[in-house]
Amino acid sequence: MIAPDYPPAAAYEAPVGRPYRLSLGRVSTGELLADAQAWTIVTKHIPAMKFLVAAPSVKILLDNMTVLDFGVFGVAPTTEAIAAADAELAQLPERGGTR
Amino acid sequence: MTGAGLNRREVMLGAAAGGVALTMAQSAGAIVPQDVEKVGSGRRQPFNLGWQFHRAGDLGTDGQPSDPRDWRDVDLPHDWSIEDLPAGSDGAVGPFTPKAVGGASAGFAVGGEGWYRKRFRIAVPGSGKVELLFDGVYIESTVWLNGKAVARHRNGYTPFACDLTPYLSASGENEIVVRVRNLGVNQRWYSGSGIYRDVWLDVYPQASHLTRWGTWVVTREIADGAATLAITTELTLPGQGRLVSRIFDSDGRKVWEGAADAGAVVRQTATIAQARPWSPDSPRLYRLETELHRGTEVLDRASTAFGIRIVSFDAEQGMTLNGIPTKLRGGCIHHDHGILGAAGFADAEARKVRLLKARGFNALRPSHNPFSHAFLDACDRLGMMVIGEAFDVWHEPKFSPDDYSSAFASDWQSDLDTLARSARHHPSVIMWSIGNEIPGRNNARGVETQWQLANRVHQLDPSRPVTAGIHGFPGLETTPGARAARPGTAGIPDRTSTVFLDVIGYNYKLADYEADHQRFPTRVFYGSESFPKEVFAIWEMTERHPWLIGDFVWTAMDYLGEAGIGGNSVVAVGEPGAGPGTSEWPWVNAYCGDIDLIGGQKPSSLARDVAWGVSPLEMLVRRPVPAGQVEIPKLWGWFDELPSWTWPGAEGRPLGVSIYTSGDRIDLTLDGRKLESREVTTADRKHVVIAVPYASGVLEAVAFRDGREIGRRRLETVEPPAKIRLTPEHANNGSGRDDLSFVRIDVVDAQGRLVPEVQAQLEVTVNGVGELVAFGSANPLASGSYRSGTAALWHGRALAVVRGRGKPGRVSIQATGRGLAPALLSLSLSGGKIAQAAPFSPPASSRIGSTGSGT
Repeated sequence: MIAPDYPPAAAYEAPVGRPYRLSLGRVSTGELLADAQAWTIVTKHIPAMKFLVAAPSVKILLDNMTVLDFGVFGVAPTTEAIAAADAELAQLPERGGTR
Repeated sequence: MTGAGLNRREVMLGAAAGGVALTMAQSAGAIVPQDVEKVGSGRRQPFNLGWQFHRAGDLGTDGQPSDPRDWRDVDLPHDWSIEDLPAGSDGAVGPFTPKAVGGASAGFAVGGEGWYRKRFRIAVPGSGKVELLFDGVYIESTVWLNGKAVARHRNGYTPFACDLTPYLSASGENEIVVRVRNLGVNQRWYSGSGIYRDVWLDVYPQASHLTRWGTWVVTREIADGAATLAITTELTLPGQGRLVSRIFDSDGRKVWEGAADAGAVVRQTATIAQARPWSPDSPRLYRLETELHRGTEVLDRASTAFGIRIVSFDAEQGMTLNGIPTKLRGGCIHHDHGILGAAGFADAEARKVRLLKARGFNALRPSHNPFSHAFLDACDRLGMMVIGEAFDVWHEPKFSPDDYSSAFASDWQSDLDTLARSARHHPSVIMWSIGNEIPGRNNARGVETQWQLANRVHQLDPSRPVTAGIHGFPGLETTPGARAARPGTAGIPDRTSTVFLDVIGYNYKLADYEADHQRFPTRVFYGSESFPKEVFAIWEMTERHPWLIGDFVWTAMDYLGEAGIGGNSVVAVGEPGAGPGTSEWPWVNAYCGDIDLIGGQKPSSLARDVAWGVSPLEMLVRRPVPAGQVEIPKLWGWFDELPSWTWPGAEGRPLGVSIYTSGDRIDLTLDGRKLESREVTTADRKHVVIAVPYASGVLEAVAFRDGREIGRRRLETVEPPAKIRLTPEHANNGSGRDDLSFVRIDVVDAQGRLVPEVQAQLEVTVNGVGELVAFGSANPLASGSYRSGTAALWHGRALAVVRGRGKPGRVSIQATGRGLAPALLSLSLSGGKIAQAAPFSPPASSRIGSTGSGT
């Protein structure tokens, strides 16, 4: 039985992102909030998000939670609202690269 | 950070404080100890005794304490935040006040500023060196020796050393002054305040010596019963000399010896035949004795405990410990000790580990910061695996700009180095966590920081994987290049939160586990935090999949701060918007732990006993809810259940009898009359609730598997409270100032059965060779002082903690309460510390009229 080894790497180089489209479950709430068009879509279908993001204790979570992640805290949108929001978000221009 | 960042004002402050001390020495001999401690040569000399403390409510414009007469004697470890606030404080209850700046996060406890001083006598060493080592001071500390600033440190959880040598007095008389500030909202749980961990003095007679934290042992291979070990020893100013290393087994037999020329770094390889590996079930320790020789002279000597073990991780085998597949039955904990506050007594640290080990935990995640040396020693000795965690924030703040994020850019490397270097010899540590729920972890700076931290850990300790606690959004897809990637991961898509981690911790993401395994089939992961109520679902999945190596519940034990995230809400049926929420004052305790603030089992702990096979059957009863209302457990909460069948006033009302069992059938009877025989199916997930109209008597559940009885639990309606019972947790207790004796206090009926709902105020007095340092209950609300000797029971129980006065003898503990027969306990405190006491198991009768058996 040989012990595993976790050697240091040679140097830092930023990992490479790939193009993606906005959606409720695949980007952070913070990214949606930062895009006026996207946020309009989100709050049109899930009005409760407007109030949720204003809470001081939630602000630190925005970059680390998707809209769907907030379901664990009781803000669970309906399946219909998710589908409608995602369909409209998918119409926005593609994004890409590491943020 | 030590010895840096000190400005002129701070130098003057130290001189001013020293001046105060000298003035006091001349004018108030009763305050300054008459026996100034004399210190000789040697490393790791205890330096906890004989300090004085001044709690500064404010500072004058000259930086001096506002009332220089207000110094009092203290021995360390010391946490001033757990002491009562001054009488007349607006709305204060014991140490808590609704006006605390930290609010519910800090458990409504108060920080502020405090000063410590200590006089000692030491001969100035010729070419040697004198260093003072603090294991932890919360949070910002400045240290002066004889009026000269020698160190400033901003991390309340990492140890730091001060070189005293340049400023030692030629007369041999010296005074240390330490200012400690705990200001603003710098933490999101109860931190404690002051020099709350141990302090040691290292006196090296020669300039050449073994480097602090420079000796460690890694198990490289175990084959045919023999272990190959890599020993690394770092030396300060090595010069000419020989390094002699000897390994002794747990019976004290020498099993290996080697010598090498003393260089800056000495690497030795040792082979131990018939090695006895370390594991939680068999925590065998070896001892490495290291000596630095020059000719016939021994310049320095150190002892390092270590264990022989190999921990491996892969998605197909899961985690193996010495080749044996092992699940992490884990719990997250904070560093406070409930009614003792944050004071890091070794006995309190060991008690916490023992309590949890007795409940089946084999792993702990000290959250979210480095814990004390005493905690890790206890984990080594008692057998508990540990994830060593460095940070709760990186560059971006979490809740407040007062938190560590303001120091992160300048201090992260020294703090991370200190964590890894000071703890890497502990066999209990199996992984390093570089962060928990880090804000900004997915942006470009966050991803680079992840790499920097992980890579630094790998430089310092390539024997352990790096992990982190990831909640919510794991980030966008991203692919590492060859130069930055972990071995074997270049070009493989990952996520920004996890791309440079070796093992992934998921916080509250049970629903994602199986889908993520499909996306990342080589990923090894575990639940780094989970909701208590998911215990059965989590362990059903964990036992099914090798790539899911375990789970750490939030939390294993109640803690002060994050007040009221556990427990439950009782709301009107149908009330819109009503639901689980966070409580405010007077909640002071998170109340989400399996084990309560004084060491008792809560319902989630009894359920976990069944989930982990510690018990085949547990039975509790849900507290009746007023008509028209409904009980909703909070996110981290649980139903209000007690192992009790004493519910006066509920006669005839159906009560929910909550039964947890690994059996496939249970029979329920009341006074021998069968109420129900019920199958327990896979869909029940080991838990059924049966409504039983309440009537006093004996409620009994019997569990069966495949037709065979596997367990039996009985709850009896108890009589009115009659007397107090005192039960020491251990038969043998030490008498030193670092020794604590824990005494459980129960109010029982005439038959000796715990009375769960008694409203009683008790008074405890201690005489003899011990002093009462804490007395209180597990009540999650601010209910009074933990120091006064008077406290109200909660669920019929309380805990008294007695500290030795430093000499052997007898100590008597008396407890009295109105209408109750008093209790007197006499303990013999011995001179020697008990190295390893048996795990504590609560007496069956402490389960509120509950008895039972299991096979």
